[in-house]
Amino acid sequence: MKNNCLKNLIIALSFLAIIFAGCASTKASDEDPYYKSNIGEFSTHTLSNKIPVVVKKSGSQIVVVRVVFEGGTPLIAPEKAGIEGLLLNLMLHGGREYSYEEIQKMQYDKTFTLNSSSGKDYSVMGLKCIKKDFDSVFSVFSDAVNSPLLEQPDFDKFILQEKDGVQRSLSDPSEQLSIELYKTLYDDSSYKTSPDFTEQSVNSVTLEDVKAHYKKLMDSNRIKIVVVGNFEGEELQNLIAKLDGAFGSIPAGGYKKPATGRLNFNKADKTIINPNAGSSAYSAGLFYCPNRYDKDYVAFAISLMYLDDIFFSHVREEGGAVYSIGSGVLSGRNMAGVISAYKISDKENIRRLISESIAMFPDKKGVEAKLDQYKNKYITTLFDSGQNAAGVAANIVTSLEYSDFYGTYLKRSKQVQDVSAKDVIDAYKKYVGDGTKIFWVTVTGD
Amino acid sequence: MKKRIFVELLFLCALVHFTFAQATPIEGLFRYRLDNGLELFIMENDSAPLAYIEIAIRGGAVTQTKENCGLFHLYEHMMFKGNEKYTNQKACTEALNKMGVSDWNGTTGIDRVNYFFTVPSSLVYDGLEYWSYAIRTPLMDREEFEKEKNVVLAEISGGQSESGRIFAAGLFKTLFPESPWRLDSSGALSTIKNSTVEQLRQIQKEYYVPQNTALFVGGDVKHDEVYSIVKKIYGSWENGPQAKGGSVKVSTPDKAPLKNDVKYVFADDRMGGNIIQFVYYLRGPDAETDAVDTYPADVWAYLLANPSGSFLQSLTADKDLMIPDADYAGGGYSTMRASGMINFSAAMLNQGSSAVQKGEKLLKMLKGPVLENMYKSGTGFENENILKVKQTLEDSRIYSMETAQKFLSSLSATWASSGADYFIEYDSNIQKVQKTDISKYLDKYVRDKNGVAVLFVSPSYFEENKNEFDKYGWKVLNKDNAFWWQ
Repeated sequence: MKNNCLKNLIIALSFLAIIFAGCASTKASDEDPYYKSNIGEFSTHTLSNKIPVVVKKSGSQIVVVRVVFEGGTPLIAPEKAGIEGLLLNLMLHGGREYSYEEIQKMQYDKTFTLNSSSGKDYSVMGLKCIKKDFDSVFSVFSDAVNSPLLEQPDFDKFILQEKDGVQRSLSDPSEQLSIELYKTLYDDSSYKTSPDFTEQSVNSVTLEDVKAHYKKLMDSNRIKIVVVGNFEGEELQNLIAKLDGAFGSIPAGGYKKPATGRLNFNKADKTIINPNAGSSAYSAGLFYCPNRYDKDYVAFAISLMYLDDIFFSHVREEGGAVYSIGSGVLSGRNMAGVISAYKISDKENIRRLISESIAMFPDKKGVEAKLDQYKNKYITTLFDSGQNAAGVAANIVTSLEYSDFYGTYLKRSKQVQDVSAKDVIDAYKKYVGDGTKIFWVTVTGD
Repeated sequence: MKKRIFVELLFLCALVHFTFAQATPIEGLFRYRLDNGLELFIMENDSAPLAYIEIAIRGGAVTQTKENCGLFHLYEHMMFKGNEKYTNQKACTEALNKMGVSDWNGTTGIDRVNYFFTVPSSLVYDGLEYWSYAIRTPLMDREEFEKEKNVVLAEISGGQSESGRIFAAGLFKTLFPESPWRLDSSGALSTIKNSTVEQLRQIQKEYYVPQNTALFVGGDVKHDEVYSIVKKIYGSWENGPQAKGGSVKVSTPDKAPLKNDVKYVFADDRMGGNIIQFVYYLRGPDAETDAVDTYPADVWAYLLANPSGSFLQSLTADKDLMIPDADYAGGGYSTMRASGMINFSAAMLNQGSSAVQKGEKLLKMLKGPVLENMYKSGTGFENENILKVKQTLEDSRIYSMETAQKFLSSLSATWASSGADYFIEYDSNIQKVQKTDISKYLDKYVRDKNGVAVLFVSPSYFEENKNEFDKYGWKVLNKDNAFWWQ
């Protein structure tokens, strides 16, 4: 029914991005009961080489560790796009102490996961396991980070898969939309290099490039560690000692946080033909929006909730023009607002219906009538994202990376509660209302 | 004295009759059944001040006929278009917003149709009441119905160009030739276009009834409070004369529908040319009629995944196949009510021998030496290997219970395919499985049986090699012949 295929685009579950926003200039607040009751579960530590460690105590048997490598694609040349993701995959493919065969056997016996992801601003390597297995799993993980084998047969195998992956992305209309969206939005910015392989880069990256990139990544200046698990007292001390033993000798290198300028939204629409779209189309409209540090960000995010319901009602239900439509943001240090329409059936009228919807934003009375509802919705999302250890770790990582403070996400619910109807209307007018420049990227079958 | 004892016994019997309620062997999980047959499952988990609420019916593609194929899915869409209390889609959406529902959805699968959302735990009454109105009193407004058809048509016509959908359609059409529409929740475009409200009302009378429905509630809730609320809201819901569910069974398709293996080649534009994929499907046990066979099937699937076991070792050791490592091959079994399937899969580098040669060899190995190894000693299918399943089950349970939603979603799927007792007694039944049971399972479902093999190759590779595919009997599968109505 109502389809969350929007997440196939780089929308990142729209409001999950919202909850990671924070106000770097705001100090930790004691007036917020939710913040107050949760901030005490954190402890911070520093390894011998100054790598910061944040530990959040949880009540469950599951442990999640995340090693964050800051920097992202501004530090990578376009012809090497995808290299960091590939490197992290290779790192998890066997180290000096544990071959990949041994890791596979251990995973079969013990039910744990090792994973990695790479994005525009940072990459992450992590583990998830049951606490009783932590020592042995951490040993494997530490070996993967510190002594990866990075061997040619594995590289060759992964590159072949990446080549197929690029091909697959280009043939799937919604994936192709993601690629074109990224290219169009970021091609004249510091993010012009995609986190994923491109047709060009997949044929140019070599194993030597990967090894050279590993050396750049292993720089204590760009690493942070987050742990969510049931550690306290002596167990916590042992954990920190273990982390220090594993990662405390990584040397400081020349890393400096890259500058990222403002994005340019003054661009022409773009249409791509992909016969696999059939009679449908997939479209995304991009526009300027506040960043997570801006004081009107939460109000803007809430205004999009009103807009989503108008889209659903006017474009989908009354217009019957699309299977799924919604709005959100493309996450990152510099964000972009996005409207996405998935499986459009009425290509002729879709833009008109969207424009009409944008103009149908309620007046002050209308906003006030529903403001509490949308605030509740927002807060439900906040709690929902933090129900499991991996979700909590993700919240902490994005708080750290986008606000330099691990607890920023805890402040969000109070910020939501403090928003007024006027704030919402002002934010909507400023960022979405009439005259907002939206440029569209569309993949269509004909 | 005798009369008093008799009266007391009568009283106790009455209590049992009116209240089916019990804790379960699973910590934090409680189950109830109302007089009208509605089942209720509650998982207590106070990790966040939220309550997950799901309502599901036993039905979907598996309960379809050729004539109403796709209409369970269309019905699901109509659930959000208005009911007795919230009389149109706008009112439904406002009610959801008022409860702070950030994400709500419904899905129509083969065995289950379900609807779910998460609310603040303080609003669990409102959430339960919302679904009660939605499921019991959908308005099925004719104008809304015609509009929603267009939305569904857009959804499914887009899907019919998708490679995954085309492959699945072809597989089901071949492996379930008697009634492939019982695996197709999307349906044919013409069926949707010509459908009527009356057809949906018939579905309502038969399947949207309490004895065919279950509620799943979990999170920061107390089981006895939730039970009281559910009894109050849903207790008056009645089963009509045409109500299905309860003890009503569905028929299960032929377990041996094919005289010979059917081999397909699928020119898949998702494939880049460097990798060839192979899958092989057989009919497996159906939960409706062969529940006892599903346990050795599951244990066997677990043993297949052992990277040190003979299955993966023999496949990855073969130089012709060029399967890079144990991550690139596998097998399994999916427990379904009346469409159980056993599968084998491999991803092979497109180097050395051709795709056809690889496919032919792999099929021969799977039906020959690879299978025979599973009967032998020292190949990873021993009782000592089976003992490891117990630890894996315990670990999996820890992960599954991290959130109420994750746990209940899994329970709801099993409830629909196999029943709640199956889920609750699963661990203890799995632990009884012995090697001899696995051997019997292989005899019954794998040895000397015929299935569907599919090779996925890039379109350009297919064009260059189509003569060889044809020569070895690999028929082309594409969007022009995959769908059962063609």
